[in-house]
Amino acid sequence: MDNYIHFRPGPFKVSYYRHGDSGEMTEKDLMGHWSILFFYPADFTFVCPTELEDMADHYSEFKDEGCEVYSVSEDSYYVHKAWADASEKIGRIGFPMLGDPAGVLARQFGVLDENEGQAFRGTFVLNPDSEVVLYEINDMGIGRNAQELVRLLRAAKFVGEHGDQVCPAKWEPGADTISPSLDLVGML
Amino acid sequence: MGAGSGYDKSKPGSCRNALNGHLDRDCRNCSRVLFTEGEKMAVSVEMLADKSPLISEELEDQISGIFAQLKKQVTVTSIVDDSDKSLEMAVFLKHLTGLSDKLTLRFIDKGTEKEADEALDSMYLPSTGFHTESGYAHTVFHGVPGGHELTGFVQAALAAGGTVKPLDEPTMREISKIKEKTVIQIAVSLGCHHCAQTVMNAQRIAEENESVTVHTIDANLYPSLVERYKIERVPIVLMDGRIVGQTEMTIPELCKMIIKR
Repeated sequence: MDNYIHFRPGPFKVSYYRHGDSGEMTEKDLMGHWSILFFYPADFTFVCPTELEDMADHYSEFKDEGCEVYSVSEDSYYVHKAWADASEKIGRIGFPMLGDPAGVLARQFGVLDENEGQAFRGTFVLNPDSEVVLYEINDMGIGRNAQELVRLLRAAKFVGEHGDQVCPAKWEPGADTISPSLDLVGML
Repeated sequence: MGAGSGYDKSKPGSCRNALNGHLDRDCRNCSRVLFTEGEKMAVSVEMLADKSPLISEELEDQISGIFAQLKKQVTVTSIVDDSDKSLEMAVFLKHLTGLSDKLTLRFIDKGTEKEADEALDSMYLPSTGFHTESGYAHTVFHGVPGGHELTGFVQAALAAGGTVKPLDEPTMREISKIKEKTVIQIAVSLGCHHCAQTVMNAQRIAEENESVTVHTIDANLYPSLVERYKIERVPIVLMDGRIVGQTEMTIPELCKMIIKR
């Protein structure tokens, strides 16, 4: 696959842990709302907690945008539960923590490190049609930023609602005037 | 004297009096060229540098070729203040209008000519429009038309000078349906090609229907506009004080938006 834009996940079934509860979800649960699949290497490690806490801190902003967040690692949901029980901060996470020990989801999204049996730090934003509209994949040691992800989600939603005939406005007060150019095609 | 930021000696025209090679902001003579104590004077065209760093030789050739199609005299009129941006625009306009003998240039101060204040809307300066024997054209630019906005600016000058690109009959019919006086403001970024296309589409409507006036505003220069409408992406199309468009808009889309309001 050249890239994952417009990729729609195929059938899968995984278990999840969520705030004391557990359950199962399939690809059908991704339909009808914006979704973020947030892959990370493993529970009980160093960078991962800070990323997940960051996502938890911004969870209400994602929900306000009509987006569900799903964290995903190759640990089973039992390990997720154990981690939540062991860590107060992880225990506060309100979004579903998916367990993907068979690597079904990670392989579909191309983030499985087959040697280590862990997922790279992949983030995939899916629209309500369950299509990927933006994604990033970081190597193991490079953490992500939830605030930036909120911004990207909003931009993706805007394009989804209004089309892509628009430019982001990066204001630079005091910047030099951009050198003008003339588009002669179709001028007269 | 007016307030202003620093100047760059390497850029001709960037100092307050814009004399070639004379760049002393604290010079009394320099200051007196533009403003007298307690009273503002219009920018003196003769004292401005002849060349703007924004217009390369290649661009000169292109623009000169385009302006050869002007059919009647146009006075490019700009309301300016004592800001560096106004000075930059003044030098730019002097260079630009020098490329055609059908173009003349005039600067005025805000509040000195009622007709100009109304036509050009002196809220966002510098504000530049086109005046002919028929009065002011209904297209105005606020800021300096760099980046992609030059094309629309040149198109507007051409239209004021009697040269427009023909539109098909269905489009003309849609434009003619607009009866109510309409003022559209389009917030743009100079580097945004979607903005430039929307501006040109809106300007074509104004060029064919006197009920419509289009103000193009480089939002980067006016934080109050950005703050008021919480502008995070462009183009933003405003009408009657509210956002009516948040993406590139075609002529039919603009007409539909105007008519249904």
